[in-house]
Amino acid sequence: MRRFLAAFALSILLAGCATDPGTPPAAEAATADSTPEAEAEIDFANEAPTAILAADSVSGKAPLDVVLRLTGSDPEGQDLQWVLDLDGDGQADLMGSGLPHRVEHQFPAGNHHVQLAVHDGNRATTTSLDIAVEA
Amino acid sequence: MASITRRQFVLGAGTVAAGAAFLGMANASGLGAVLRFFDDPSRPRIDRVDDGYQAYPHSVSSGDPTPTGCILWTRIAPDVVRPDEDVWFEVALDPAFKDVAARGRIPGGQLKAEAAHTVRVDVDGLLGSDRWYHYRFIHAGIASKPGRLRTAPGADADIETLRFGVFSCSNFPDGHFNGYGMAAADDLDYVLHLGDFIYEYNAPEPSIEGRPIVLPSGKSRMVSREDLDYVYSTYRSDKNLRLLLEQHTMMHISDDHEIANNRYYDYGEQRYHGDDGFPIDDDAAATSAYFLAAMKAYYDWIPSRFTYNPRADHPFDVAEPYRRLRFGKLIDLFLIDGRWFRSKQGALPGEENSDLTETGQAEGTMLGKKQLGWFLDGLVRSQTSWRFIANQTLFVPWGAVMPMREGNVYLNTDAWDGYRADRDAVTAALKVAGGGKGNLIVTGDMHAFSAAYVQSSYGAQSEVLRDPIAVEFMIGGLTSAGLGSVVDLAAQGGGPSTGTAPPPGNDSLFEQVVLAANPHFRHFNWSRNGYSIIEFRKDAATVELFVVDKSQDTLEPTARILMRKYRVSAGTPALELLEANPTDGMPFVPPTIPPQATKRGLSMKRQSAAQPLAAH
Repeated sequence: MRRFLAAFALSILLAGCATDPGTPPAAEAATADSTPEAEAEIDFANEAPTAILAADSVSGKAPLDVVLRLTGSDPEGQDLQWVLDLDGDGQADLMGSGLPHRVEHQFPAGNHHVQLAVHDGNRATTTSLDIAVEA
Repeated sequence: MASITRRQFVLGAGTVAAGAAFLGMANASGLGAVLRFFDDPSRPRIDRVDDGYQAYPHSVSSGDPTPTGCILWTRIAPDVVRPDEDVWFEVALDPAFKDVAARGRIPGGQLKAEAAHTVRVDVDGLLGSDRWYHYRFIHAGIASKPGRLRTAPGADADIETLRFGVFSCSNFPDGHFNGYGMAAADDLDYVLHLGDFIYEYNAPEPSIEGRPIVLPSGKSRMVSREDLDYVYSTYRSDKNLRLLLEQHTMMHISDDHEIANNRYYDYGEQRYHGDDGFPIDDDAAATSAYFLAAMKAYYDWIPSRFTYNPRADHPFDVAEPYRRLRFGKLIDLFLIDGRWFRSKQGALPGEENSDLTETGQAEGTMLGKKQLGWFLDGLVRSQTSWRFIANQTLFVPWGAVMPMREGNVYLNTDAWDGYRADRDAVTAALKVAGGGKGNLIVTGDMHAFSAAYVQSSYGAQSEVLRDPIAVEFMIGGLTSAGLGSVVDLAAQGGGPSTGTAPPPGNDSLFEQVVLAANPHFRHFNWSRNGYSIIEFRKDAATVELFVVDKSQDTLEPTARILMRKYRVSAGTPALELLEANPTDGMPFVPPTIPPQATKRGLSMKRQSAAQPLAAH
């Protein structure tokens, strides 16, 4: 049931409904078929996943080798995908599915705002770390 | 290390159809949809710090360290909980949280009233080994006070020394928790609690003013999750316990009072039992439901590394709280559970079917078949310098010479004396473990300090020490009154103590009685309260037994006395007394009397009270 719902939610996303992923597409589903029976049958009370980002070091001299550990869990046990932005520009640099995941990255000089988003096919949770690298 | 090029997609091993579709979507839409994730704030907003413990009434705590993490814990006051706002946590290298090494969040919707709004995060796998970190929680713009945690050394680490603060039996109405506060400032790596962290009974008239326990149910014993939450909340609101757990990572095992006095599982009837109010109203179903609720409350309130599975068919599968933690090449710490799987206690002298003389065989199991196998296997395979065993009830025999009977009889069959088949098996494993060297057991339960040898066999009372394979220290209760502080054994008195004055000579009198019948004991003090600090080195461990004046709400150094200091060589199990100090002048506190309480083998009538008195 849950798996089906996740796929259904995903198909809404795929259809171009790039809504704020923090809001489950329950509203559309309820509007499409708002009979009480249907609402009771289709449970969209999906909870967002947990997201954790950890680094073995967060400061040092350039170039700084850092091991990033990505993890997360979902209350409903849904499969998780993740997106990582390594330099804080809001652009996805790495993506994958399945957690936990380990990423090794060499950071150049500068301050780097590393962002992680964990997605359960329905809702996303983000977190971040700052890596300060001296020249 | 390979550097990563921008927009290189890395597919994890767990990639499935949904994930592929998701990635396909990301490609097709030029990442636009994906990048909306980052519109969400990816770090917490902090408006203020919860200095007065309003939003986080029990502050923060950490438990069960591994080389790559530990469990972080807090509870958020129900009126502060915002289901639509996340609970953030940060683990930093510095106390100012400038260098945050791990940050994450849990959706606020996961805060559940049925878990008392407790938060439990296992960061195992995320942190570095053998180091201090600072951590805090943030919810609804309010940051908790920061706590400090320490991860375990890596399995191959050659570490010099580790220091543990060790506690047991902390009855809230029986005394101040100033011993916790003192240990908060001690130079320790970790703390260990041996159970009876809470007590189940109602105590509207405490020994110490301002420390009553008034159960919401109005019953004499905890019977519901509401009662359990009230008791855990009251204990964990204590200022000294908060301080201790902010400063040190704790490991914990539960004894009987976390659930019910002298609790056990009846394998025939397939249900749990306890003394004094259990089964609840003679209702087997209500009692079983309470036991499961109490185990869940324990899981929710104390961050220990075990899983709770409410969907399991058998209570033994709901929770398996025993575990082993490794500390480099120095220590294998076994945290065993002698309560959840134990069968009924053996009979006491004078009771029907009593067979507890030296030659008798006690039936039943202390650990249950599965845990016993795990424990024996772990002991004999252990390669560390020390095997440190956190144990609930007294392991070594504890007898007395009784008139009209030959040999010794066992007086406390709630301890391993009532489960001698399991003890024989563990003893055999200890003889193999480390070649019978480097085995140290710590025990709580009886509110006594003791030092004793574990031997391959125990002879008659007159026989001398033989073949020691381990040592056992009983760590006196932090506050729970020992029998020596209850009963006046002084020659001039004889009757029960009023508690208003120290019974003179009790310390030495009890010790003489116990040592006379139990030659494997070297120390026994049933009058004092306090805690212990144990420092392990490769070649030896030192054990300090501290007595604390629980009658005063003070952290002054004068309120603590080093009563005994022992050195235990790893090479040959030998108890070497390094220091012994008198504890004269330490005041006594009369115990809080639980209604209708009994202790197996230790119950006695108190003349001034209508009800039997629990030593325990």
